[in-house]
Amino acid sequence: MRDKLKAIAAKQLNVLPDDVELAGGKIRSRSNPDNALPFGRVAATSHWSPVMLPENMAPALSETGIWSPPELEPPTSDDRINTSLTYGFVFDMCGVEIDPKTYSVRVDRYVTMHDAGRILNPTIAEGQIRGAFAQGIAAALYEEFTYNDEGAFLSGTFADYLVPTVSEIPDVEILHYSSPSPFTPLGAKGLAEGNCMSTPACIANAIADALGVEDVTLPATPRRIHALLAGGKP
Amino acid sequence: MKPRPFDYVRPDTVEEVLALLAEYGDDARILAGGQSLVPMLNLRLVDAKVLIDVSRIAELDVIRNFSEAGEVDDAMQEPPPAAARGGLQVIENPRPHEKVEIGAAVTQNQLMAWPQLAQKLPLVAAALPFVGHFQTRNKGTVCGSIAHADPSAELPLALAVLEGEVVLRSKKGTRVLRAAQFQKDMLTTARAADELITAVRFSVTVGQGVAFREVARRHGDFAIIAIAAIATDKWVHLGIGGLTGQPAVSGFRPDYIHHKPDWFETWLGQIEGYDDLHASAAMRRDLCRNLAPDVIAEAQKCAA
Repeated sequence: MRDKLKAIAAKQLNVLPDDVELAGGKIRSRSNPDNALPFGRVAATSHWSPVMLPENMAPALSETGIWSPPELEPPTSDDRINTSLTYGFVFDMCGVEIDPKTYSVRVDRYVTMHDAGRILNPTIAEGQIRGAFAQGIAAALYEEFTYNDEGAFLSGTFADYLVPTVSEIPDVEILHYSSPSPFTPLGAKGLAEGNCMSTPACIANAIADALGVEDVTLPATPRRIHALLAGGKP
Repeated sequence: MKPRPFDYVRPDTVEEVLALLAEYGDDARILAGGQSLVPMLNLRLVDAKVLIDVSRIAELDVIRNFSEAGEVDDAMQEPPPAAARGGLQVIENPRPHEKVEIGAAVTQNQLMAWPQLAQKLPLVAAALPFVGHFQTRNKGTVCGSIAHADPSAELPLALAVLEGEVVLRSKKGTRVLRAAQFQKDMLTTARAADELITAVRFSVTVGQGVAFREVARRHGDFAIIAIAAIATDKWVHLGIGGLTGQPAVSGFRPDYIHHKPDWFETWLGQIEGYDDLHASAAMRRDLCRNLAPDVIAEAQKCAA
């Protein structure tokens, strides 16, 4: 990057690249510091004025660097791989009630605990959890791409593809357990869409427990609950 | 999506509307609140060459008490279809002729805010919060919902259970149809192409017990099943929306529940339910079995 800037500046300062130095926000001639251009102007030349670049130089300034932490080893012989240094952990518990008259599922209490190591921004962490939880409720109880036997798409409008509104999202109690990561400078671990994955499973397990069934297909719509209770096809 | 192009007309009087309907007939659509019509135009489920906006016609923006006996023109009425009545013996409701007339420009929220609503039409008061959402009720009209005749809609159900009437006007004259005669099937009514629904009339139920219950996926969604009941110590009227093409209504004596416990199964068995994405016909029947006794009991308790 520095060499490229020096080459661009040398042409405009009318000096040799070896005579160019970067100092004090300027790019200037070492032998004649008054012969100088602002850093920003030289950098911008590569984008705005490719015609002013030295011959055969490609426009734009970019550099890609790669660092591989030593813990991220290559795949093992049986294709197992560690893909992250920042695994977060989620533990969810919930209690649900199934109304045998309306076949609807109500989440009475939902507790989710996250281990994201040291939490860098508690507000962002809470927002991520609440958003993922809402999407988890959607997957567990509402949203579904439905097709009929002929392959026609049946849930193509928001009247049939039911995105839960704030009224459908139950309260969620959020707990944190902070065990700092030994692998990251601040001890932070990942936290984002965990509840998208944990919440559907947690609710499905609660429904299976309540109804005494082995398998619950999600979303657990009233139609499916009715079929489970009536022992028929949904 | 966007609708196909159409002309928009906003007359100031009912007479002008009737003249336009006589001219355009099936090519015209009445626009009141547009909460069902406009989405259907956008989805191109409905076509219209001309939209006639009646929402700002002052003479239609009226809620009034109506008690003229003999106003219903029997000569222009067809006999009530047996299937719509569920085939069960219907106990005529001996309620007086007092009704509340609601004009075609009255929005659902306007009716909700009417000070006499809870006293005179408690069933309508109980059903209105389930009609769409606050925002859609700001524009959606009472008559528009009845004109649209969605089988799961709350207001057509309330009108049917209350044995209400629909007032239709054309250049040829006025006819008044009972709810059961008006709504023929899913989105199908007895309105002729040149007729405007100028008003609907709900029967006043002072001194009677009412109850309303609805099952929907989310609040404000189309009802999977809606159940309404009115009761006195002498009779009960039960109505179910969402089960079949039009509200299914039955009248019976309260002692039926004890002396003829199978009346409900018999009645339910005569109604052909429909399947859709959210519920099978079997589930709809089960919902009726589960909830109708609760709704009837609540109406009776409220009457006592």
